[in-house]
Amino acid sequence: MKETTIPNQFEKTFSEFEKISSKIDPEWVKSIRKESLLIANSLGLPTARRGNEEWKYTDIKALNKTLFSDFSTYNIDDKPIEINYKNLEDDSLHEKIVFKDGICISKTFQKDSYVSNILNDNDISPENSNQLRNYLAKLTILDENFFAALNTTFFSFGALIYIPDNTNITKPIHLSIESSSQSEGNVANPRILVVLGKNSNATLIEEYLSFTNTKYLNNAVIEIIIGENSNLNHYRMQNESIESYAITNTTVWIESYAHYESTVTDIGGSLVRNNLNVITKQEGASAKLNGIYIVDEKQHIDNQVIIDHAMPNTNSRELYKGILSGHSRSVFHGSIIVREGAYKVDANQADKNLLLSDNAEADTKPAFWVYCDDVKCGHGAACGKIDESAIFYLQSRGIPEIQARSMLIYAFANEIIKDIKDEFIREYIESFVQYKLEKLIEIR
Amino acid sequence: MSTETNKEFKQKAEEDYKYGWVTDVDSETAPPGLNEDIVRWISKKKNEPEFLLNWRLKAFKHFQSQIKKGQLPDWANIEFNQINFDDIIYYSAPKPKLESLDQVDEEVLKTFEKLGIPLDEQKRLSGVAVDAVFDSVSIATTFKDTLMEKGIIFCSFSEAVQEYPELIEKYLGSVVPYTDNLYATLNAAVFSDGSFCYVPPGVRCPLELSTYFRINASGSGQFERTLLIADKDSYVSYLEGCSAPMRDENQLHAAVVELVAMENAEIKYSTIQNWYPGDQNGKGGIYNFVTKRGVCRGDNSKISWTQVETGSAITWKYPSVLLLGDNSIGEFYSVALAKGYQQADTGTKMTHVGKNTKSKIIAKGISAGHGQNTYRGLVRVNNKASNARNFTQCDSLLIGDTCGAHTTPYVEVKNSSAHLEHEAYTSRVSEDQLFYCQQRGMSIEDANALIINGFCREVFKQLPFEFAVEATRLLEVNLEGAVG
Repeated sequence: MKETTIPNQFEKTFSEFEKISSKIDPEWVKSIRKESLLIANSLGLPTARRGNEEWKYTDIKALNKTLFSDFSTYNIDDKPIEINYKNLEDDSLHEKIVFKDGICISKTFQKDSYVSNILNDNDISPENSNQLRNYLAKLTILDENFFAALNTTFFSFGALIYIPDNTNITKPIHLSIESSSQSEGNVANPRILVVLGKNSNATLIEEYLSFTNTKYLNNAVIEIIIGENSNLNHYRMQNESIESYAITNTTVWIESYAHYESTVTDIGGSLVRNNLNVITKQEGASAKLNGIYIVDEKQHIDNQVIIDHAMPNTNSRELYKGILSGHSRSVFHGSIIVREGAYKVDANQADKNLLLSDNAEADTKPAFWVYCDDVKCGHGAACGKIDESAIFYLQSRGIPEIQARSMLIYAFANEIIKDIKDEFIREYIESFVQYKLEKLIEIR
Repeated sequence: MSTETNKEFKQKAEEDYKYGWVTDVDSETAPPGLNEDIVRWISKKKNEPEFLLNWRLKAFKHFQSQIKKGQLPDWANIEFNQINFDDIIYYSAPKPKLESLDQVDEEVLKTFEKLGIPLDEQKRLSGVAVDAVFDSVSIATTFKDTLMEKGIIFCSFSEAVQEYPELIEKYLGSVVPYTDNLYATLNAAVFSDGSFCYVPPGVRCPLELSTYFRINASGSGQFERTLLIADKDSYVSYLEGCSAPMRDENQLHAAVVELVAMENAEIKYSTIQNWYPGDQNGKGGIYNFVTKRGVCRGDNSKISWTQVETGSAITWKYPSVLLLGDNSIGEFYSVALAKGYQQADTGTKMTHVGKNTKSKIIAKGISAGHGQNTYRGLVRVNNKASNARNFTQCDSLLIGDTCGAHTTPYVEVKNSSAHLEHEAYTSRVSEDQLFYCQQRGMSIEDANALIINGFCREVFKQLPFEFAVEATRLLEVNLEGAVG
């Protein structure tokens, strides 16, 4: 770690933060925080300056003006809310974990729960504690990632989901990440670590909700390890307030013959940035990454998806679709990396955008970095508007134009939705998408 | 050129410096390094009008400020030692001629043979002095007459500066401004010579114009500049480069090509590039940092780039089209080969501004040995460019497991009526196809060559016939030993 002479933006904030955190943190967490602080300070807020490929299309200058004035911190006096969530969400959920302004406030989980609270749980089992030590902040590469470093410096209570070997959880675990801070410029740092043992199955719903209209930054870091032969279905649903900034860094390690499936749905936020970094750690690993984003007005959504095929015989499928209206802008930057010696990799990625307005902008960059010859890699990108002849056809069948239009827009989104295996979740996401689409069509 | 003569040459240059180059009026070689005096000296040497000198000086000032700010174009996926701009000799006399083919590098001669290049041409290409009766010279003069009859101007850039300064003033830098990128800036400040072509309204150029057939073209320098203007309703097809290896020891080759197509005009620009790629260990070789851009200024105009890039240690080249006129068309066909330790970062930029504009991109990359091949392309649709259409296909073929193939396409769309498609595929030569060919009695080398040729066919068929044949052979020669 190199020392830096750059004015340390977060030094003061951190010393305040440390007063409380040092009482809770074990030694190893303290050193992680210190290191991350150095990185965050030396990197500073990324800029869209020339040559910075990662932030080429997303300018976050505005963040500096309004944000970083208030960090959500521990409040030891706050008693975590104890609710029996079963009543709230009926029997369809296995567990619900609530984050409020970046801090995990759920404490009482069901008996023999797989969830524990990072740093907050005195009852954390020795095994869970080990998992935490082994993996926390080990997956995400902080060196060039300001936001992940920031989160690692300032995260408070987070959630550890540890599912041991040979465990099959059929009902989804629900992460409800809620923002309700009334203070302008609040920065929340939700932290989640998911560890799946061997031969296990689990489903994760990661939902972002907002109960406030202030400008805030939700800066989440999620780390996931999927053990041998295991399966994880991961659904992200993001509906932050239209004023907010939402930045998420997700890193996934897939071990041998394990499978990761992710469906990302983004409809909220004024500026949304998703870094999804998937690494096939061992042979036979596979991933399917789907995404849909629907934006209007001045929303800006930026999906950066990296699939790193580090090992032979791994495969991936990736399909992202966007619907853009108003003055919105979408950025998709997909990278498929095939490392030297990673034979028999089969990878495919595509990004398709539907533009509903002449003021919207779609920027796409599906890239390949292939260092091995025995591979099959394909990618595609398409961009266009609604086919007028299809509208005409539907009209000729007596369907009013507006309805025809919404049918076709919905059909475009449905390619992603219909792929969701779990019926309960499919319906949930369907209603989520419908809600936004109706708003879009109304405005038009 | 052999290293021996190069040494002499360098010595000479240093010698000149010892005695002060300013007083030595006869000196044809500037001392290494770049300053305002050198720029003025080059301009004076070439007897250039005021406006051109001023333009060069503006470019030089910009170059200095860029260097000061450290704004080097570092985004490409290439690795090389930073160029020391003070080590370069920016103007030098034509290279000393060799006396006969015996003095030419054996390897070069072998390649000539394989490519089937006629003896006279071999001489010309390898820099052997050619006597006055040499065929191609007379060909060149006849060609020039035919062109003159039609009103087509085709001459060296220096000639054009003297004879048609008004055209140069009007179009120079109108497509690639001197501020475009560092290498274009450098070229603008110090360019030595190049080609100029103007096709008047309504004229269809009867010949495939080529730098091959032009007098004084063989000694094209390090910093060449080409300007090609096709006026209303005209058509021109232009061939550049050569298929034989050029033993040029120059490290940096920073050329600029500007094309202007007026209403209903069409320009077809084909390049075969086979500069010295360096030795087996990746030592030496040319840095080919070229800025090529065309502008479809008039309605219904068309510009089509075709390139076969097999040489150079590093290729850094993005022939682009700016589609300003309504219904204008831009096309880009490319085959790029990176073998040994070659690196290629090449592609195109299609900028749609006019209505109903169309663009098509077919890029084929082949990587072998330790070669790294990157396709980098941009398709941009501005918000007034309604009904823009683009089709992009960029495929990569990998031969061996130490090479790399990379694709970084950028798509930026600001108009809802745009229709864009992008497809790309990366793989190696299919085992099934190889097996099929072998089963028919072909050797594995022949089978590979056949399949690779098929892979490039879409691009080769865009080349003028003779060029296509040569390109095919060139690829075979270059891939020898790489496959199987």
